[in-house]
Amino acid sequence: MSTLLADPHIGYVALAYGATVIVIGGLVALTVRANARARREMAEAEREAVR
Amino acid sequence: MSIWRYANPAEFMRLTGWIVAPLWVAAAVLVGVGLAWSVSVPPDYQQGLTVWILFIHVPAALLAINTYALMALASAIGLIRRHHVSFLVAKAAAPVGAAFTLVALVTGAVWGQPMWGTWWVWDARLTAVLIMFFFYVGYMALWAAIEDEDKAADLTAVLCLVGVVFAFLSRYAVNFWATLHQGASLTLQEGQRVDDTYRLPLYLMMVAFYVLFAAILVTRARTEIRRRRAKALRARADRAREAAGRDTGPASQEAPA
Repeated sequence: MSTLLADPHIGYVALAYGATVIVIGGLVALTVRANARARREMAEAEREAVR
Repeated sequence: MSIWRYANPAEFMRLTGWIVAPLWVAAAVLVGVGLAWSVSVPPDYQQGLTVWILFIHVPAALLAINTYALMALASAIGLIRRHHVSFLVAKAAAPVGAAFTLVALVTGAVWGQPMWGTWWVWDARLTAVLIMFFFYVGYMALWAAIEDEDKAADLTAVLCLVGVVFAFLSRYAVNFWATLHQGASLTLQEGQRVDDTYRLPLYLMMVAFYVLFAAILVTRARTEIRRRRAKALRARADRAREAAGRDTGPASQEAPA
């Protein structure tokens, strides 16, 4: 572990993995949130249509 | 049985309903195992630890190009056969493709700085990928800018097809021109290609990214279908209320007299 941390490139690796987690994690979070909202909206619209 | 029956939104929802959860589980497991394997391989004798970056960069770049190809195919099918689900799949794929393109560009730059001595060069492949990223952004902006969804579907499909040339160049620029970006390293003959120590975890990460892509794409397409269904139901309810108002309107005006 200490050898890895001493590697001169560890900062680049951390930057690349960190950026990937932010971009892909953000995309997944937005996708799940949008899906939950659409599911809720459709359920409401269906209830409204029945009334 | 025709494949085109899945172009019906109800059929699409029914077909994909049971695969969404398994896709997300498979994506989580594959990405987890792939990442653990990727960061356990020994440093490369030339690249050192930066070889780990390639386990993200290569699958992301592959998906960036292939997602655009999928969007173009879906757009062409939508324009020719007028299937709404085709347009919706293209629309759902765009943010996913843009995200993977951004990851490919950023991780490529971060790898390039220690290995090439520069974050960026205007080399044919890098430039083509950057332009493809702009096409992704332009495609999403055009969808957002046009209120009439049928018109938006047609215009964005045309824009997508125009951008195909840059997706093609992103893939093949290294074959046409002398670029700083290296050519294919996975399809070479044995003895020249990447060693199995790195090749096998890279293949696993490719599979993991594809499954993650499929999970996000299917979820986003289902979201879009639900959103449209809700919109259509509301419009129908509004029309019914208006009609009811017209029927009761004159009677309610006459009542006080």
